[in-house]
Amino acid sequence: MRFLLISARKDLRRRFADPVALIIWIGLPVMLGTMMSLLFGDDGRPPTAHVLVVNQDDSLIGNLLVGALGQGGMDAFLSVEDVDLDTGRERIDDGDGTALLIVPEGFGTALLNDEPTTLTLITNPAQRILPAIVVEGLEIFSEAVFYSQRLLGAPIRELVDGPSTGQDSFDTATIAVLAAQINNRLTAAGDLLFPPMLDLDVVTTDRAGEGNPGGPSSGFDFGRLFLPGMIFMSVLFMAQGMGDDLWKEKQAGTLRRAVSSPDSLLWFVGGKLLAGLVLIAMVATMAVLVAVLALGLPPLRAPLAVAWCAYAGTALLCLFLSIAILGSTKRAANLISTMTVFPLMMIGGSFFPLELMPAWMGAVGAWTPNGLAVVQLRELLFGTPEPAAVAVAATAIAATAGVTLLLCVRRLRSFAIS
Amino acid sequence: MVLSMATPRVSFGDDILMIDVQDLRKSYGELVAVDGVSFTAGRGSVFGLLGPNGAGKSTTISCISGLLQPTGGRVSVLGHDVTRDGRAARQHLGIVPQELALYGELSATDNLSYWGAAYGLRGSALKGRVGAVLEVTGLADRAQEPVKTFSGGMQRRLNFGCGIVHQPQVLLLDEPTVGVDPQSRVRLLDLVREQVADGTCVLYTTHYMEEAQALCDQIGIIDHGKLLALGTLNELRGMMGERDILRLTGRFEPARARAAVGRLEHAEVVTADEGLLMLSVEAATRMLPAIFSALSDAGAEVQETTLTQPSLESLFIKLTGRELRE
Amino acid sequence: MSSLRAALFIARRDLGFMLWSRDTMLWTFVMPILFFYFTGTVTGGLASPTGSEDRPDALAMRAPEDAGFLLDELVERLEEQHFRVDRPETDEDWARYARQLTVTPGPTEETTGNRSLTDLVLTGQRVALRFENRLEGPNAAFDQIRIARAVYAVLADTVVTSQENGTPSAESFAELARMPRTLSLDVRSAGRREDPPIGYAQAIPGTMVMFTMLVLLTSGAAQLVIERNEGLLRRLASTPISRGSIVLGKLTARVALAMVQISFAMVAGTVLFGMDWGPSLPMVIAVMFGWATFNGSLAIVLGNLARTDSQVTGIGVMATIVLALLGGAAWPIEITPAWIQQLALLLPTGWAMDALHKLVNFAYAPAVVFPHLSAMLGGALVLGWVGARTFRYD
Repeated sequence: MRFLLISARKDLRRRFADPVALIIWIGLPVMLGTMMSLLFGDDGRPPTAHVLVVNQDDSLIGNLLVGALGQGGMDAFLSVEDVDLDTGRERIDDGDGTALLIVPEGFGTALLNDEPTTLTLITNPAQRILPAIVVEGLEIFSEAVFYSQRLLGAPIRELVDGPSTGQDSFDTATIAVLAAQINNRLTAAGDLLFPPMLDLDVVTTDRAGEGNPGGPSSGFDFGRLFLPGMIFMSVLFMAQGMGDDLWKEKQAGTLRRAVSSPDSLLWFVGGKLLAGLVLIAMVATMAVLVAVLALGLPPLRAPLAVAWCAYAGTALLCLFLSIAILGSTKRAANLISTMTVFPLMMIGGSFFPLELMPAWMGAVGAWTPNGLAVVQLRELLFGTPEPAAVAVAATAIAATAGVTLLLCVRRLRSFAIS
Repeated sequence: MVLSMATPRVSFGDDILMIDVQDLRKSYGELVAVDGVSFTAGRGSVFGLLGPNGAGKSTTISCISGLLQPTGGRVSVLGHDVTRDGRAARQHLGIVPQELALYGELSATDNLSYWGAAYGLRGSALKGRVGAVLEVTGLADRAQEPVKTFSGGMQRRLNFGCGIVHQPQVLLLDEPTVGVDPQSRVRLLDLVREQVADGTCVLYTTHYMEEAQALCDQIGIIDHGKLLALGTLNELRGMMGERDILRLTGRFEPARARAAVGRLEHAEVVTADEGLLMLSVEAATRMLPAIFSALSDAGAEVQETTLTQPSLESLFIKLTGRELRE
Repeated sequence: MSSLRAALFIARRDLGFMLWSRDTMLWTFVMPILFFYFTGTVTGGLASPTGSEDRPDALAMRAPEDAGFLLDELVERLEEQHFRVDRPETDEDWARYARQLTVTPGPTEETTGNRSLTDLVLTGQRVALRFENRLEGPNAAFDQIRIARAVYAVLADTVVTSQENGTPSAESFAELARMPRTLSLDVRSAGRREDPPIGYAQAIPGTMVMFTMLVLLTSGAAQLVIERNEGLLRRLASTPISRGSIVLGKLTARVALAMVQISFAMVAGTVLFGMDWGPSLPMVIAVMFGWATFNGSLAIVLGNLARTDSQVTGIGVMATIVLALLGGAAWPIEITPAWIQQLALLLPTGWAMDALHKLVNFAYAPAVVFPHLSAMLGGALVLGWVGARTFRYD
């Protein structure tokens, strides 16, 4: 047991003898966390599409359309800018803006007369998400127009068209009839619409499991979504980097000396794990600190999150130590470890969150060692961890570590002398 | 021609055997690296294992140190079987491997402290031993610097220091002076003598005959995994029969040369081929004219003559038919 | 040996050594495909906040049995919004869904009696719908729009058919759906391509840019550090080959290796993922060559400055992640703040991505990206000079 502690101390000293590598390891999650904060801000607002609008129709309806794009729920997703056609074309062709909307001349009249008309939308082909949102918004408008036409089209057309009998203006009776028609239709519609007979209530459940009525602005937060995965990306790289230490000791000759010493190799390897635990805890502390400062994480959540990162990270180190000694040469070992770390990172939610993956991929990833860790880390940081789920994850991670540690220790003697 | 002796069980009075190797075997599939090696060594003595590269010296040491599992035979250190009671055996062992085994990023002090602690030293005892070893190895003034900044000789001395920091009763040195400058070599050999003077039993492998001659109380000559000869220097010299080795290069007809030399008294052919003739001769300087005459009659043309007086190398040549450095 | 010949000698030797190693094989022939598949699969989800026909979003619905035709219409509208509507039978199954829609006819059975949901709505009784979303992600907030659109479409259909046909029915809804819409939306793409890349193909350029940088800044730089630490460069110093030739040779080898990787990646992207590189393929290759050269020079500088391969790997990974994120290579740049999008144009990754977008997505003429290519090659020259000045034999 004492050999475990002195080996850990020795390995920590060796690590601290290379402060640059240590700074890089600590710097990685800090940098990633800071970038999350910079890139996505702290208000959790979704990205907005910037729509350039060329309004060639000076009618009320044309202006209503432009106004509606920036209001009524869509303002969370769209911002609108009026431009002339040449400027608009130039800008969208230069990739400036999400889309260029051209409202044609006579648009309003055509709508009133129930005549075909077309809105032209020129999208930025370099953008992947936002154009789809603009299209959705315009399709909603298009549907609203259709329904409005069905409901009020006839009387309004009649009003707009003017008297058919050659008079200059409508007589009082005709106006009264038209007004009554519109009123009746609105009243009938109002019975179903105000309040709506299908009353939709949207609840976005936050990580605490409580509902937040009101929807999108509290629905997601890029920083919180990506940060746990990014923390474990750092941990994975650390574990991989520390995993080749057995090769370093083999090449230095100290591994052979250790094999000849009286104490068990389990403590020798255990020392590396203990040193790794300390270092990963240091890195995790910095990362969680960023979460506290930049993403508003309650400080009281920090210790558990750090402990979890250290625990899971040490298990990953176990994995990479045993992977390292699979190779017959150091290069072969690096190859095997690279082939392990990148797929793990990708599928385990460290490149992209599991939530953004296809369901099957996310389900597989959630059962990888780092996937298990990332899921619970998110709960520990931002949600409500369920003790049973944490216990299951911890057990699975411990099992991975235990098996790989045993394999490592068993193979270590022959690795030392090969 | 191979000359082997039965292993004498050397008694050191009431002392138990520090190293006791009985019929040690180590094979890798069909390759037999160590084949029935047996020897013993006692307190305050140096046992040398002399042989060329690939003879089985390192394998033998690795089996004793617990690095390798013997295929057969029995090895014990201070009475502890290295296979069945490995931990107890290793507790008394110190290793100075052929390759350096140092943490380059750490200082000399840290290296010594770690290995001392690995063998159970702690506190003031550990600190004291570290200081003593630093003094003895001449590294005290650079004790806090990273080892990777040391010269090769300094690293060798520290390598030695890591093997003795815990004051082992048995010290295994595997060709510790390979690639070392002469000054550092002298220093290392002095360090070995100091350990022996303190009662440590040393097993020393080398392919440098002069080291074996200078240092060892007992020498085992090993080649192709077998112990060819075993004894003190004088005993081994006795095996030579005080004969010189005469090495002749030139052009020979091997059969005629053998016959010609065979007719001479006090001369014996060790090796005969078309370009090389090696003879074991008593008082070779006096026999030279007769030898040349006999070879001349046999149609031989001698171009170069080398006379080696009785030594371990000549014994090695006699035992194996080749030189130690071939 | 002339300087150029010496440099070619070094380049050939280094390239041969690197090409035949197993990790090069891995990074050249296996990893690109893995990266393309993964990134394309995931960002395909990012690319479609409205869901898609191929990948509808799962939605669990609880509603009364025999709800009438209005519920069927609602389901149909939800499916038009690319939801897959499931009716889980157990609470356990229900809990597995992140999106849940509960339709509650009324507060109590006494209020509703035995009337169906449809009857309740048509007789002016409110029906409550509760949409609960437990997802977090860029699309989660947009789910509300799609759900609302489906619900209010049903309501609007009810209003209109009530006006026109008296009592709404499935037939009147169908008739309304068949009516032509006078307002249509003509969606086109800017630039000259009628069919810009979608799906996997959208992710390939960015992945390639990030990948090239990652490989050169880790393996390419680490190799230099390893050679130095093993004394191989010291041995090279004793040869008549000049420092400049050595640096040029090593740079050439790394760029050549990167081009081998890029070539394979482009072929794989085309054959396996349907990537269409647009009408200016030679210029696309030239841009990638410029990018490879820039990163090759950067790798030499990094290899000169770092002391251990661990440092190289750490710095290389960090630099790649930062520049890829900020330059829009890792994920769609449009979801970042405007100032980040401006900053991207000042970064090498931004130059590469902007050039590729202009050539591939907008299908512009090759001359449009001359500034980008010049910037990358200029950067490569500057870094190459720094690399030559800082090159160490030990």
